[in-house]
Amino acid sequence: MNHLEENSPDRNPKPADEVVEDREMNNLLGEWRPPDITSSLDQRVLTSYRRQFLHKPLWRRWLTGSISLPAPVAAAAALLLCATSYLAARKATSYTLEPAPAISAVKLVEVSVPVVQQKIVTRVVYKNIGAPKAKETPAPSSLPPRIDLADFRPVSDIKIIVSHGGNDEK
Amino acid sequence: MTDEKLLENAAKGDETAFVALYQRHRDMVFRFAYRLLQSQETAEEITHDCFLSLIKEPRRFKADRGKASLRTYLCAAARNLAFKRLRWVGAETAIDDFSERLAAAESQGPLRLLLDAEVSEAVRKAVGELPTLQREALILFEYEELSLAEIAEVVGADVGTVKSRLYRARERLRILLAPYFKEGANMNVERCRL
Repeated sequence: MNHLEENSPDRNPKPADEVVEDREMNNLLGEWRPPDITSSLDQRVLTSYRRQFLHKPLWRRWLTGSISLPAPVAAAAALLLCATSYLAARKATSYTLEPAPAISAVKLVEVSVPVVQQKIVTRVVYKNIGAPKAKETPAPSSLPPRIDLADFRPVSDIKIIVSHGGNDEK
Repeated sequence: MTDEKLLENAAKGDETAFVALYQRHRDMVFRFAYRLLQSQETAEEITHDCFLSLIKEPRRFKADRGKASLRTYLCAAARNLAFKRLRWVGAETAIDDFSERLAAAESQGPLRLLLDAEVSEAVRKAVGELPTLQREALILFEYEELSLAEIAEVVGADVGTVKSRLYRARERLRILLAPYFKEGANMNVERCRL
């Protein structure tokens, strides 16, 4: 049975300081010869090789292609790239950026405003100035009271007075 | 042309360079994978994947160029793929049927072939019974003739550890293959004669 593990060195009876030539062993080992390689192997290898190179599309060569560069040139290019990047980064950070104008936050506050609702009441009041107050008669007669319009004169112009509403009804 | 140049051209789409590179290292990769997993089909798959991954990402090898040769790199790649397979199949390797091999050897006639087939099968079985880490060290050292430093590079261990693994592998093989060493081998032949 094959196994990858090797016996520990402690189990080695004595360390081999030199490889001793053992002609008898060599002769015996020489008896074991490997078989010949089949011709199909050569064909397979060649086919794979051709597939690898001759039928490789151009775009694939471009994508997978590589160029060899001497190490000092590569190192110099890398250093140059690093230096350029560093300078660019430094230049970019040296500009003082103006602070952006603070956007005032609009705060909406709801204020309740009392609305006074006015009620306008218009009334026309006729008033007899100077007319004596009618005395209460014990019993109204059957005839309607007679209204004397002798002194009545229509007013030349009418003045309308609009008074504010209130509780006193005048 | 060097391996590096061939790989560079192959990675650009030069098929001739790829074929040259493949033929140069194909057998080594296949042999190593086969001896490690003992399955021809899987070893071929690993060989295929190994070369394809090399072409897909040749930079992986280029990155290690200072340390390793392409041979070492391919061995390490094959080893990784083989270990992945071992994990997938729960460390069970496919083993060909011995009786089929014997029958094939027998059909060839001479007793020598039969004996060779038997010894070969015994060695295969004995190597297969080694723990994987010892087995790979033995295969790389004995069959692929890599140096200890190269093996250490492939398996990602230090040279001392590789030596230790090799020593233990040989000790174990000596026990497993005892009947095939001198006296044992003679006894075997005698048994066959009887």
